[in-house]
Amino acid sequence: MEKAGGFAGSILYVDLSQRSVTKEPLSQELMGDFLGGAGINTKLAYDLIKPADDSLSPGNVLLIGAGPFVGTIIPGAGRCSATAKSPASGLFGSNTTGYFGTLKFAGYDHLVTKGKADRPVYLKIRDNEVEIRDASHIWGKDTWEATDAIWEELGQEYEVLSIGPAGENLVRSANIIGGKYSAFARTGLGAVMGSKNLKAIAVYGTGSIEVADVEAFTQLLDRLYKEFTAQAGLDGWRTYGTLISLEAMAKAGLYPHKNFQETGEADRCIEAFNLDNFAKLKVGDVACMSCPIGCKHFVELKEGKYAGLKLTVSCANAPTQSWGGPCAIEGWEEIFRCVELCNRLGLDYYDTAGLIAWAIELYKRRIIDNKDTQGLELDWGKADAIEELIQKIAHKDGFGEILAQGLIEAPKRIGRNSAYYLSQVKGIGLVFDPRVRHSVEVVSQSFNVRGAHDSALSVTMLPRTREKMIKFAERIGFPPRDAWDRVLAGPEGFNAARLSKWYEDNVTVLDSLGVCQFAPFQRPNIALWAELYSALTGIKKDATELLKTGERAWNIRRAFNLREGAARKDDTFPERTMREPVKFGDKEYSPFTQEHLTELIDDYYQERGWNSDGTISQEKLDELGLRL
Amino acid sequence: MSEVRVTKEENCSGCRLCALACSFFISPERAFSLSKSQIRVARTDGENRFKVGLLEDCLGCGICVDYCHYGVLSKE
Repeated sequence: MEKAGGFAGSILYVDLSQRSVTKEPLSQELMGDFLGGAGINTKLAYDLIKPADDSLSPGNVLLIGAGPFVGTIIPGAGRCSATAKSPASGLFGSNTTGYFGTLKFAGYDHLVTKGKADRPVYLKIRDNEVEIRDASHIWGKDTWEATDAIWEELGQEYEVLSIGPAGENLVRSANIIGGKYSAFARTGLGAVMGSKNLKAIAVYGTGSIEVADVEAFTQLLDRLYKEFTAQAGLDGWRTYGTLISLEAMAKAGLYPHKNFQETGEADRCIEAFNLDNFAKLKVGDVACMSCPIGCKHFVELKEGKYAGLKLTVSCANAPTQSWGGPCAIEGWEEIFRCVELCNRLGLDYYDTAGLIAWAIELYKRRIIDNKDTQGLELDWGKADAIEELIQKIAHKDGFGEILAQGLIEAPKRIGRNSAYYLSQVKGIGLVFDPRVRHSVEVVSQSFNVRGAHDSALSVTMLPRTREKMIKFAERIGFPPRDAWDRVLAGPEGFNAARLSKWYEDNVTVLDSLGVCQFAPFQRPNIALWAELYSALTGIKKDATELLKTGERAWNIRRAFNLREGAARKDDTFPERTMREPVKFGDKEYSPFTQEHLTELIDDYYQERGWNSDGTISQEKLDELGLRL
Repeated sequence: MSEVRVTKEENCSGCRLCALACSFFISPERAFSLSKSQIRVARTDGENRFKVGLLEDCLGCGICVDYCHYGVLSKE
């Protein structure tokens, strides 16, 4: 078979230690078994990263992949995936963002970077011309300054991924920032770049992405666009982005407050993150490549303390869930200042805010004092101190140096039973409080292979009925009918543990194809994605096979973690959430019981076909054709 | 002959659907390419704000207008 449609057809390997660059064809086997993007990244990470190698050693490998849909006009097809061993967890690290898809036009589906440069460098990729360039003049600069400097050198047509001081300083919650706003946010992959002395990657391409069956593809595209644009609520998505659910989420108690000591009161959340005020500060829509929605925001503060600040805000709900809730900052002005700092310094909102919220609680409880913080007076919502601490973390300065060690090591450094107050699982900060609502996103935070919520977005965040769940399953094409009795069971028509398996597989498919995983893109039937994949690439797959490839990648991620020593005992929730109740207004939610957790994990492992100790059964490996 | 105009450039989100649609529907290769389209979307001033320009060989077919969901382009 000739080169498949949709794919650029090559993997670019860069060895920074050897200063060598090689280009290899993307194999038919990888395309067929793993679709592309996140799926192929997963397989390559499993094959290339040795279990003994530390996440910050030259042996770690950073993979950036863009699936076969990226670069086409399939709506939402702008998602790229980054993968490495995570400095935050020591396990499988991954995330996606809607930037850097032009890698495909340069001729590469995947960029694989290993080794360590002997001095700061950045990568310039322009079609076949790949250069490892000196970056000593931008080392130490924040991501905005570094990106501007590269645009000045190469031109603004380049897409630029950069780390900030946090990544350079190997901060465990460091991220990678694209185009000054679009983050490969979680699991600390910015520190992987920093450990390689790799400041930035700039790409521009003049190539093309071909289509295997133009007629079928065009017809399917028409069908998809008609279906997609007929959805209700797309205008709201454009105006407010992920804040579209703010009011509903606030009323459902989904904003943890003051380091998960309580749940943010609905009225406080709705007022503190007032949507009208947000809309007044927004001056334009920003979109990922090929997105007809444009749910990112160009914002300008015209008055007040930060007058003149212009920035692009990606997922606008994320800073409210981190700086707004756990740290209790109120009002968009200070929230946007935190966004600016994190984007410039290259820090993940959730883990950084989680560490700071934890430090505030320790301070309030007098477990630490101003000698520990070196004079910094910490308090809820005290934005100036919080913003100073963000900077100290990025620069590993004073007390910030302890928090920069991440959610596993920082409590060991402080001791004094401080770990009890930290809301993390496997080194990744929680987003949702497991005591309040037992949706797929919430319960999967305990057993997710990557940690936290992002790879299991579902429709169960808000209360549902079985009738609605069945209707939705029919619409999207999964879970299959023969699984309904066990998966779509329970008071609201779903078993969150079992349904997690299906959403994780689906999101892995979307991440592999290169499609956004936000709600409007989860509405088309999986069979339509399969038809589009087949027409675009020429590799025939139906809906069942498509989901199976997602499952295959997910199992390799589990195998990656097992190889690193992870076990069932790691699939848990923070001790406090299993001992103390939590208040939400006049309601009180009980601690998450061990009995319930055991039941959930049993259900989840069973749905996945794993053994009760969390290892993958031979039967499942055989079914997926995996020899690990 | 019809003509495509950039009527509300300030609405451009940088999605590049216009350019990709142009390359796919108009080029003889029927392939997606940013550099082979007759429309250019370029970042300005180091911000996520964009300028949109049509090249000389634009046929005025309007496929870019159909794929622009932000009201930047119009066909006259």
